[in-house]
Amino acid sequence: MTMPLSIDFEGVSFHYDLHRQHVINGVSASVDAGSFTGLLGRNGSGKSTLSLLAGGLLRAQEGQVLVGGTPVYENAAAMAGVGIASDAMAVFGDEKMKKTLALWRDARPTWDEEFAQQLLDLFKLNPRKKPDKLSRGQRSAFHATLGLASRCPITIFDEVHLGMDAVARELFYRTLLADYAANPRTIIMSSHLIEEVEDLLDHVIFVDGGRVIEHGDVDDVRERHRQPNKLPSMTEVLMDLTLTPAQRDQFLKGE
Amino acid sequence: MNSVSYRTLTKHAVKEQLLNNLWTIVGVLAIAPIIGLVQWILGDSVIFEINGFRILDEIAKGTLPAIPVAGAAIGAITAFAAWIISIINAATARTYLGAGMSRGAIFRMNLVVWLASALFMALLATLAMFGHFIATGDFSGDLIVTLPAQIGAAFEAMPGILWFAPAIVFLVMLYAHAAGYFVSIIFVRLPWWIPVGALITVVIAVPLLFGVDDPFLLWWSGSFLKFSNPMASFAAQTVFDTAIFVALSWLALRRLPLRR
Repeated sequence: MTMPLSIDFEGVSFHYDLHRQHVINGVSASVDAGSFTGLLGRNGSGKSTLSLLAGGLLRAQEGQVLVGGTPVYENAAAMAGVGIASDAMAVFGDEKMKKTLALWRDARPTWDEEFAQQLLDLFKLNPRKKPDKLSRGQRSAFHATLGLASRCPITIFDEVHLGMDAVARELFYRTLLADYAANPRTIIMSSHLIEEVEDLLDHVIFVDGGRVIEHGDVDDVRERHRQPNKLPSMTEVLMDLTLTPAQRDQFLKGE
Repeated sequence: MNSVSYRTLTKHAVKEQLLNNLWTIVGVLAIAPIIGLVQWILGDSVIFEINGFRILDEIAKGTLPAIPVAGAAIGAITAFAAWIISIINAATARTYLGAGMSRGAIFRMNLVVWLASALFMALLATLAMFGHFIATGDFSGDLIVTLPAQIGAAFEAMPGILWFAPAIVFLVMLYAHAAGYFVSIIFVRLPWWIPVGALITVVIAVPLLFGVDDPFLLWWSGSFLKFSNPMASFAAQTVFDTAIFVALSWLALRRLPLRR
């Protein structure tokens, strides 16, 4: 049984090696244990970097990231409890998929081998094939399989479904939701296909320019950005948060 | 939070490395008779007019002791294969990191694999050593070999050197693993132009400063780790260099980001 964990960003700032400019600027935010949180923002806003910081895969130069109340960086137990599946993740590209699957099975205490087999069947993936030989959609499905079957207390899907076709995406959403209901854990989903995922979310974090610009319960956030005649969609909230006043007048209020 | 153990993963990695060593040895043993056969068919034909193949002839004639010479060749090739495998392992460090392993756990696993690999080869060297002793009835461990003039200068090995064969193999294997990992992990950790720039600087600056042609030869020949016993000098130098490679590799790995 997976025990959901929380994530706390405490004044986190980060810049990549040899780059002075921070891509994450003093972020303080929390992700509740057991929540299904959307990490939303425009291109280059810092979503993926925040995800990697949450997994201990990058080291914050300032502040700290806590997983279940303990610092995650170089904490073996905490790192094993955060699974990050993205569209461009590090796998053994020129070795058969079964080698990466075996690595994740041995490195993730919560890995479910039976579920992994079901997912491979669902996405019609042959584990004897090499990831480098797969189509983009198949590779995305393979990465999603790793994320789902690891059943980590915190699982982050960072644009993992971008390469999938519409049917595969629908299968992914449905499987994720069913498995989340059966095995509650903390899920973070980052996506540009906001309309497709927003009904799954109960919490949301909006990021722009490396800062958290809005976060909270989905209904509360919608209420805060209410438009005269309707509650906005998450895309409209993002537009409201990131467009210039002139653009807002043109594209939001002019509707 | 669940505690995490990488015992299974380490066991698999050790098994894979030992199989790699074994396959390298089997490969060399399988290829050697073929080369010998081709040499026998072609005689002194120009394409095989190279010293390495003549050694096979000399072994066949009984001029050179088969087990020590074959063992040295197999050991060198297996060490080279271990060097390559460690290069590949370091190149995939991010895959292990992405699978949720801490950098410390990744490095510890590698150290265990290197030690197991070196011990395994040392064990085989021990078996080969006693095989030679029993076959020749000579337990002195002396290896006095005078190579034919066309192969190169004659050399005299130190008395009793064969008794050190397992230790030599152990140290060389560890060195090969550590050196391969270091060469690769600095390119994983840093942009390519930093290690390449450092290498060019060493190659250019050291000869200018010390008036030598080869800075790496200077490191070995001019080392402060010199003892009256050549075996002790060799061991001290190999252990020292291996320790440097291990320390530098850890420095590179300990802050490895998943992306930079």
